[in-house]
Amino acid sequence: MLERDTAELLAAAGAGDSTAWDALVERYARLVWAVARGFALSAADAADVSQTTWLRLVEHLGRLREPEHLGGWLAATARHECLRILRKNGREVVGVDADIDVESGEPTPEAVILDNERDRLLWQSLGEISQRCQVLLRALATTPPPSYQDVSAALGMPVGSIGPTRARCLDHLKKRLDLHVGTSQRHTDGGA
Amino acid sequence: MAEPAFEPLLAELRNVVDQADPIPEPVVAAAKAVFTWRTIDAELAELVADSFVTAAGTRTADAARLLTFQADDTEVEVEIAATGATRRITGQLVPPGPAEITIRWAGGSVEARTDALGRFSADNVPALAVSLSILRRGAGRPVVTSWVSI
Repeated sequence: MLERDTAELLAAAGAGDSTAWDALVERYARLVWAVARGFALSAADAADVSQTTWLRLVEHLGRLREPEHLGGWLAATARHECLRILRKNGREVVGVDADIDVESGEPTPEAVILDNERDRLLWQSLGEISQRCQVLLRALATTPPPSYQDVSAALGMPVGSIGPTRARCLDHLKKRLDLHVGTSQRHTDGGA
Repeated sequence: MAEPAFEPLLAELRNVVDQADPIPEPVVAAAKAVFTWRTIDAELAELVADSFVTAAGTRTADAARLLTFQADDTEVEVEIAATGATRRITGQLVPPGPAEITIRWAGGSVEARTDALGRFSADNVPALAVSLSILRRGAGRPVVTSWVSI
């Protein structure tokens, strides 16, 4: 790997190197976006969260205590901004951290562009599981894959519970998907 | 990584998310652009209280929002009121004293000055992420507040 590590990029950005800053954005922008969209924010609100999160990093350049955990810091900052926006919009925040399935069932506009039926159903299923699971799975599905530490920051959960929660969320997703695909329920019993 | 049985599903999900909800290029560009807001010689006043967070249950839709920012020797209390599509900002510097205030956002800024009691105000601030830069008379460097989306 020729890539510079995160702490090195942070130090360079703090010293005024804008290419180092760009590299940090390339590395973590998708994680920030995934967290915001995992909280079911609109694209406009998610863009707002992204902007504020990166502004927060600019102001904290040279002040981060654990530069190697930047992904987690950004994820936690994005999470706080999401909760702030949910409250600002007057949306119920209590259920965000609970494992309650989202029963809106409204097909998202994005679903239209997925022409593969299974992809479309998987995307739909993702929108129907609990908000916490959506945040977790959206975060886990980003490229490059985040560490469990980053994901735990996005969720405000201890690192130790990410593994089990991840398994549970994927299980929920699979059940939803199977339901939609209409395959036999017996198929998934082994994973429950 | 535990649960290898789920790896294919996660890979599938990664592929679907990349297609259905990729990060928009302008969002990436905006994140890169905020680097120009780097302030080299300023003290940071962190957001320590936000009425949208602390009093969510009792908030009414048109209530003003109260924010408190704290630096070592300066506290800034800010009230954000919606006036149509823009915001009116009124603030109080603690301890009070003469200071020049600059309210900054991506694409613009507006100046304000404190009165004898340390109060200041500004109208027609856009509903974007903003930060206040506070330069007290005689101070060597400004205090800048944490960015907050209003």
